[in-house]
Amino acid sequence: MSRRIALVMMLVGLGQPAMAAKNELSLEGGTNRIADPDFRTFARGAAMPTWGIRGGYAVHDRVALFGSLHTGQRGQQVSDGTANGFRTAYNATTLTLGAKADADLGETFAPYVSAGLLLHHGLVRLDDDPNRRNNPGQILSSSASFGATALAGFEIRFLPGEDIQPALHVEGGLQGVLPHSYLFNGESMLNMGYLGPVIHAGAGIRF
Amino acid sequence: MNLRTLLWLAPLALGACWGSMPANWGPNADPLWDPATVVAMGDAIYVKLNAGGQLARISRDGAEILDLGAGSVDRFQASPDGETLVAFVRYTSCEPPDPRDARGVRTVEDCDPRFRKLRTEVATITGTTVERQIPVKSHYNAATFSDDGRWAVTWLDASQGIDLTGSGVVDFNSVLVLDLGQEGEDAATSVSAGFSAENVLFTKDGTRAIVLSKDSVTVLNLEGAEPTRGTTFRLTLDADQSVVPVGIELTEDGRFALITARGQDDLYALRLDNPSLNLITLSGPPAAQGIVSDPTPEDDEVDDLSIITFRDSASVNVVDHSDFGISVFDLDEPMNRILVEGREAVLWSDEALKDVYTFNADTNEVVEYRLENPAVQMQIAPGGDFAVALTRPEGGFGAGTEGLYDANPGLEVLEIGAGRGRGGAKLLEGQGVGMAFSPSDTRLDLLVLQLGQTYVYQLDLLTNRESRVELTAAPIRIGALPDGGFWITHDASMGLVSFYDPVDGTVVETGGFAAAGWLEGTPIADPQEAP
Repeated sequence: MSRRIALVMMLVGLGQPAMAAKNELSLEGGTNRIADPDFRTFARGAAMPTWGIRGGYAVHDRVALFGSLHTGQRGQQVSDGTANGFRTAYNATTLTLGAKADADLGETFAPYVSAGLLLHHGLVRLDDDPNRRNNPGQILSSSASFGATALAGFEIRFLPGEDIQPALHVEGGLQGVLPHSYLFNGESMLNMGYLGPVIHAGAGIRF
Repeated sequence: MNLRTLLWLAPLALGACWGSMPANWGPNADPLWDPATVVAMGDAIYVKLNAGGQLARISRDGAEILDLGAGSVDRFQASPDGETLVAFVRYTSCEPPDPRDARGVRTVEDCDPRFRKLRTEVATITGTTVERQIPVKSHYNAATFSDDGRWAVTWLDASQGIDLTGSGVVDFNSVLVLDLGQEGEDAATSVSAGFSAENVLFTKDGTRAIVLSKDSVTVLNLEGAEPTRGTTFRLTLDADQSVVPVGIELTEDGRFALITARGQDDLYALRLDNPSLNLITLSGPPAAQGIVSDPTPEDDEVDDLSIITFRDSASVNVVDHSDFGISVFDLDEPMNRILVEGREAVLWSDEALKDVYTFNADTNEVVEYRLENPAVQMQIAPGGDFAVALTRPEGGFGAGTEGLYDANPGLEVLEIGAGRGRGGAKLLEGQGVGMAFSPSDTRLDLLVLQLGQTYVYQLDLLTNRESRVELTAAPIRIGALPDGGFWITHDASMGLVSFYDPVDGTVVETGGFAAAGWLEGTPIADPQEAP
């Protein structure tokens, strides 16, 4: 039993000396809350699931710059008494650039905080013939806005001492996007903007 | 390329996947627009967006939402001159006892129904511009217009759906005369005009309006500084007897109003300029009434006449307006529909009968035609040389060609002009539900909509050349534009209208316009602000 515990401790690196911030590449998924009335066009609730990729570049023992790209889609079928009804969809893509600082708590467990500025791009689509990529009964409108995010989380690194280390991370905090309009025929048809909780979990490598 | 490079390029593969749309079951909504309720004016058509009450102008160039402020269109129609659209626009404000309760209210739906205040205006619209707005009581639900578009009379038509929300005191005994050349409250004059108006007609010169109400007919004079009530004709002197008018026509010179009444054999001829009432006995209770116009109204000779058919009598009565003498022509079957084009009238029936008759007012000649199947719709083509019928299957069990006709819907063309004869009957794939004509110097194009078919059948009546116009969605309604093109509305949730040019065969589609109201909701009006 004691040998098994020792093996696990060796694998996760507990008891090893503290390690500096590393470059990273992770895939992550999560959700943020868009508590905007116009978001009801696309979903009954306010949750916006996203997935994406995050890369980090260590610039200091405890600090790394990071960039992440997330995308997500919500939508629904609206029944309007006609044969087909129509569908709505909202695609959001967010590019975040920021800095992440971790605490010196050992080789494997690294709590951190991060803050970033983000560029948000949204694409709205309403379509009564969604099987055809281009049709006259389709509305497409895109808009962009800026925002910010502030998160706290932790990561667990495996295989200490290796050049490339697998790692898991979980983080949560707040994310906000400034109000922005989606135009159709020159008229504003949707206005979106939000400040709400966000949570991410991911897996990747540190190198 | 090493592993690290590949890993750094991975974000580029994260572009939004846009090929499919989520199909989660979402909310139920009312239809965003009604493709069957359309007004064509100029080179465009107008449709109402149901969710927000906006009015959209659809043309080959795209869709434009009219700026009605916080107004929501209730009803709309084109004036007879075809240049002005008249819309009943409702403005709903939210006025709770505590104004703080109105904070954050952006749409009518956000406001507690108890606190909604309604006001209605009649708006005249040219193109996409609101020219004038006249306040009216919100319960008025019917309107007719003088030929020149100057006057309108609006009234409460009890036979239609009535919404009395916010109406205040409802007066069934008056109509509202609108001077569409003016703006504001001065443009509307309430005039007492009998109990429960049912129909209003204008004389061709626009100097008089005739209001048909229960048991009486009232003449409104429009020549003075403001509209006034003229003569009122009582259709019965017996309080126990009810006369329910079913039709009213004005003679060409505007001197007589001719009224038929339900279940009565009489034609009421009301002389408007020198008030008097004549009763003319007909062959039976009328089923349809039409007027053949005088081709030379400028001379002293009265050449216009009335044509009246009967549901229970296989005959047609022709009433000469010069002396109100009646000529009776016997038919083989009773007819209940009349179409008039120039001096030619077409008598037909939508009650499972297959006879069609033409009556020529110059020659007093009645000609009989026989359709293969019963007609459900009939129109006279521009120029008056052809009558076209859409027919339904008869359900018979005949053999050969006759059996085929019996079992299928059809399109039948009758040559009714100088070269009289049968133009031929064609079998349709689906039940014909609509048709429209477009004449030019060398062509007379007919387009036919068929139920469940995503194409339109095109037939040049002059050359009998035919073709198909493929569409992207099932058509609902069709009409012709002044430039010779056609508009076609479709069964498409987000809105779809096709514009077809029969000469070069091009189809231009405009769609997606119906979502505007659904996304925005019905805007709330500012109670302090005049619309």
